[in-house]
Amino acid sequence: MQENFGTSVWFLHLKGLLYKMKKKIISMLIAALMLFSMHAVSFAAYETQIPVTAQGNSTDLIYIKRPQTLSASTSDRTYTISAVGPQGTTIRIYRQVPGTEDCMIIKAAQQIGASGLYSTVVDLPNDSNTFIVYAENGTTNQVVDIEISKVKKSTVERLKSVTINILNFLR
Amino acid sequence: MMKERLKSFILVILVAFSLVLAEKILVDEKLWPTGYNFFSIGTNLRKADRSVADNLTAPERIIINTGYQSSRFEYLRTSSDFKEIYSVASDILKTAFSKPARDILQVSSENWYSALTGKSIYLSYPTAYSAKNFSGLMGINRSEATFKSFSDIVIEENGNVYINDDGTFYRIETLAQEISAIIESVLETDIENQSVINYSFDLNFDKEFGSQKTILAPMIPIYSDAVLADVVNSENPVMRDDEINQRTVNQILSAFSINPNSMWRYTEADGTLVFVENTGILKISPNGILTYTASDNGIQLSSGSSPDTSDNVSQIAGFIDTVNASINQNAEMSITSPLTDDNTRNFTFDYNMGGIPVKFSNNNAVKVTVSNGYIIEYSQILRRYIPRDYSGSTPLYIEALDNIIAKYQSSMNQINIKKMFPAYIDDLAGGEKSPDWYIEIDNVVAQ
Repeated sequence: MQENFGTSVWFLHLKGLLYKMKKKIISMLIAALMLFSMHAVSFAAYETQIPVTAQGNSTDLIYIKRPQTLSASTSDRTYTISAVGPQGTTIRIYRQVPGTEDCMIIKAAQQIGASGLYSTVVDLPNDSNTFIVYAENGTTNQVVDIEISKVKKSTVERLKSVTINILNFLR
Repeated sequence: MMKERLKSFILVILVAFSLVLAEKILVDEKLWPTGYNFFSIGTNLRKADRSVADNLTAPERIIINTGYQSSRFEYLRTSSDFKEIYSVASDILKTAFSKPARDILQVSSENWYSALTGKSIYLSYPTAYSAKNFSGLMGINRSEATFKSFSDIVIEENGNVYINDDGTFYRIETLAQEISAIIESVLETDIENQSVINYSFDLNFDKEFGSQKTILAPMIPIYSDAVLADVVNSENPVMRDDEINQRTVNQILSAFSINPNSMWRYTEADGTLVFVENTGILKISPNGILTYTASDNGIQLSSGSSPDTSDNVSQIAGFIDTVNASINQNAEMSITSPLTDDNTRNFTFDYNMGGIPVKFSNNNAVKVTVSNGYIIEYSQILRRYIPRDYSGSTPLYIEALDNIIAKYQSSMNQINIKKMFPAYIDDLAGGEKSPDWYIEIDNVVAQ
């Protein structure tokens, strides 16, 4: 009898405590829900666009093989970007809209297969083209900015000739 | 009078009937006893058109590098453009290989790659040659070049010829100007819907980085889109209406100079026809496999005293043309065994359909062994490839690579892709073949 009385007192005490904390718990739950939904919204946004300032939580998920220095000049109308990464990594390519901070998707999600290789051809509509390569594998993601400038054919030929001459001179 | 006319009319009809009947007897072997239609062999055996012999130094594909990586153009053997470009390139190569040794300069790999990214044409061969064998097949009497093994050549717009001799690079100046005109003319082509062709080295897939598992040989062409080509029907010419086509068999016997009346013949349990003569044994199986084994010297290739590799391979190619003509086809074939040795005895050839190689699982279309200027062993997978009136496409190159590597990745730490190109893969089952990828991993052939 005494034992039952003790339990009831403890239960009432807990109930009072929960009542006092009710507002705090609800606030925390709402905050958690908002956090989750923001995260989901941000990934949903990455489906079609990504801010030029976006950053990933990794720097070594994929490795861009072309352009090796993440910037290049070409006289072509297109450019082939290549990369290597672990199997299962999904890659999307975005291009910056000139005069804005937004990059719109131009190459839909493509998963790296067993070869670990990835390549895609992108159009170069502007003199200066900024691309964002967004790679994602589970909770790891990486954002790589690539700059491709269009130059005249004659300039590329001159640069190539100078490079070869320097390399031959150094041998 | 009327009676005479009626007689003449009946006579004309009878003569016409006799002519029709004679044609049927001569052409349709079913009206003759087996092995007795030697007369029709003589009338139907076509003159060989040297499809194989004339293409021993022809590349399998030509890529025109316009200086723009987004506008490279590929030409396969069957296109008329290929023939024109190859004709020009062939003259330039004859000039280059005739140059004295002092005009052949060793250069760096950067020069080679620079030529490929500039204005040039790239010739990709289905096998490797030594300078001696290549120049011998080109009809150049004496070349001072010492290249041991090359299968890639680049000719720059200014006439410079680059040779990749198994990783060592050479340049020969020819001052030929014709390449420039070819490049300018193709630049006028509409390239809107063309696949972008990169070489593996363009994309740095030939260089290892970190945990990169797959390394592609630098000259593998990588197409941005799937490759389109005719769907072809693979036919076994030995069979007709589920029976061995006796006329074809007799024509093959004729190509091997075997007299159907004098040889001894029998049929094995699996239906393989065996023809035995004093000179050798010829077998023709119902699945279209022909094998010849010499009993004495074999089939003489050349009357020369000491034929070298280029002599032998020329004569063999001529013989293959004769065999192909015997089954009424002008089959395109490429030499696929290396011609890098002066004393090569074994040669292989493979079919080429519409400029696209045909590959069999662990086998070649033709295998020949020679000894002292005689063919002592010969085997051929007899096939006709008939293009259908619609096209098929390969998978994307990256998908093909992923599928193949998935099979091997558990047993190999690093996978080196040596060759990768569009091909028809023939499993000998007959029927339609769509273009696919032929992939060679180190020493493993994966299809």
